[in-house]
Amino acid sequence: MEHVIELRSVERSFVTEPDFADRVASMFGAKSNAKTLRAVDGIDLTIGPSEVVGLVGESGCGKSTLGRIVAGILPQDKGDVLFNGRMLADKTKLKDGSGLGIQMIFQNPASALDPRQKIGDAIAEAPVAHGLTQRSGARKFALSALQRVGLGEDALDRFPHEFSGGQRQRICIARALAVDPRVVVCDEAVASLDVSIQAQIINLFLDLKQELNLSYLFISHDISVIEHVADRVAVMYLGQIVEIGATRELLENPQHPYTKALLAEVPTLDKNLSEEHALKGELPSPLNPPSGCRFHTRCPVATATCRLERPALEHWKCDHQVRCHVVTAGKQNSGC
Amino acid sequence: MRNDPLLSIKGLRVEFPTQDGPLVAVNNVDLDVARGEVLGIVGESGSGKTVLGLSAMGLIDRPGRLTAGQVVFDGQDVTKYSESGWRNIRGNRIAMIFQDPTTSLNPVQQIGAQMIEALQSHRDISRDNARQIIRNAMVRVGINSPDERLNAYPHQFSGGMRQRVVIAIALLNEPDLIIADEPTTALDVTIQAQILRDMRRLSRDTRTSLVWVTHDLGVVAQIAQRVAVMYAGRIVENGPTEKILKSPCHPYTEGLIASMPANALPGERLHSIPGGLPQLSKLPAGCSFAPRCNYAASACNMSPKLIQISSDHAVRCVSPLDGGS
Repeated sequence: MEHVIELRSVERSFVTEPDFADRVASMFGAKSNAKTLRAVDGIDLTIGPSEVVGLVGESGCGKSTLGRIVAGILPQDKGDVLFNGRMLADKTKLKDGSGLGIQMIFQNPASALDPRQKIGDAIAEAPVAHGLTQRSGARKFALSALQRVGLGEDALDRFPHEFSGGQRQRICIARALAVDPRVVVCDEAVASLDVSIQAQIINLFLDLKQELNLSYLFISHDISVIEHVADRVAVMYLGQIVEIGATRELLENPQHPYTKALLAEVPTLDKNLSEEHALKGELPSPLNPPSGCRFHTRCPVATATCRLERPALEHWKCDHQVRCHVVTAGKQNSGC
Repeated sequence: MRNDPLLSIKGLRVEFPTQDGPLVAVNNVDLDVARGEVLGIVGESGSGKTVLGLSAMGLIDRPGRLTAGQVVFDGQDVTKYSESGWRNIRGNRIAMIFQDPTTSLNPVQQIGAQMIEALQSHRDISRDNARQIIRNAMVRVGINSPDERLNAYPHQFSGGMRQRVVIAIALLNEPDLIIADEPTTALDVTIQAQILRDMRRLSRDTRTSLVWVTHDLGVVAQIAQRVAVMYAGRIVENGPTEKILKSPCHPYTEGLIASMPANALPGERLHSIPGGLPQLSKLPAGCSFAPRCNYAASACNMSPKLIQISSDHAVRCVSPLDGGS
């Protein structure tokens, strides 16, 4: 299968800004104590045509950073991002439209729209700039984009504040789709919406996928949302993918102790949370991640090996990979 | 053990004046919280659930005001209380936990000092005694080695730890009632689960009553014995959690449950409630949910009353669903 998106060992670090004391100290020749945070640490990931890949993890695990790298709005430090088999150049420096095929939708639609720009102008701005439509036809173009997400002509001349949260998210979706992308990165795109509105937007995403053969990278902390929309799921912990597989297989048969704990902690209507904590402790600081397996400090089955050696992402089944010494120990690669 | 409810809200109405006329955020709400009970209040944004929680704490700020009804706490009508009367109860007999722990703690004061202040403003107590109580409260919410933590500032804690500190402060004066407004919404599921467990155990061990305001039905299922569902300022359904979640009788509750992605087959279209929430200042006449309701009929033009369909289950609908069918 041809991949629409392929990530090869992508890495991205952030360095803490030196504060005033640090700057003064460095003037006098002190060694800089800037800390490096590896937000994304060696990610390999593919997204196929009309495939939805879900990305889950706790806050601070690097899922949003990865989403931004895929969307091309944040350059990676190392590794390659391929779009339709071609290397994606640093889009933040390019204005030629080569990255138009990948669009992003954010969590908060209120801050993603310019409060003083009319909806019609917001939607037509990019297509006009990239020559997808003439300025004279911009209004008609924007209207057809709005109709695709269930809004009408009366929306064209209104401002963002005149819409509800759900409608604003529809506008953001219309704007992202106006440039005819192949891939849409959704970063917590339904998290800020109420349950009844969230369902409408999820339905819209699924309809548009069918209609336009879109691929999605769907980032969410809500596993039930991911379970509903995704074909494959990747679980991230401290910058790494610790488990990835077909949605059903992974959620019904989780192997990594972190995935198991994460699934056990989701409050649902039909099961009772156990009395015991499924996960001990808190997420370690990503500025100073644990040695060996990054999860060993909270892992119920960690061994001495886990404290020393970094596990690799290995096949558990053909459609299921796990990064865990304990799970993969003694298990042969199943020829995938 | 006493059987009268600890908190009893009767016919409460809270209004905010706007240019378009009064906005009724809480509309004729009746609600009882028994001693030792955990009550969940569920609703979407703008349903009035937060304002209802605030009015039980006497925290409705001008220009908002209570225009009708009573809030009876432990036999006393507290709506008539002066600010100093409130000060005696607030933080002492009724405590509140807010959604965002960063804004409910003072960023420039050590945690220990903030906790001592909460204690000493209600009790004549020595610093040493206060410290002992604080240590116990911190251990109770799962903060280990409290002594090291007392001198820390809020920014030195993670989000989950900060919320635990807030909960520990709420517990200090051993309140009879804790009102928690979306206390776990800003937290990761793993931390949320830990706090749900802690609070569940706490209310069981100390028989503290708990009002848990949330939009998340999954959370309610984990912690609340009874749930009140709010829509557009009114309670539309009120009853035991298990009953309501298994066989809801109000079409809105049914729609909410059906909209949850976990209750649909993967990849299938989700059930969604058509339309959006009505504006509180321009409520439709009759049942406020009727414009979005699949079952709406002409009888819905009349405002429905809250009808008791069994001894512990009430619903505001002219033709309640036959629960379980």
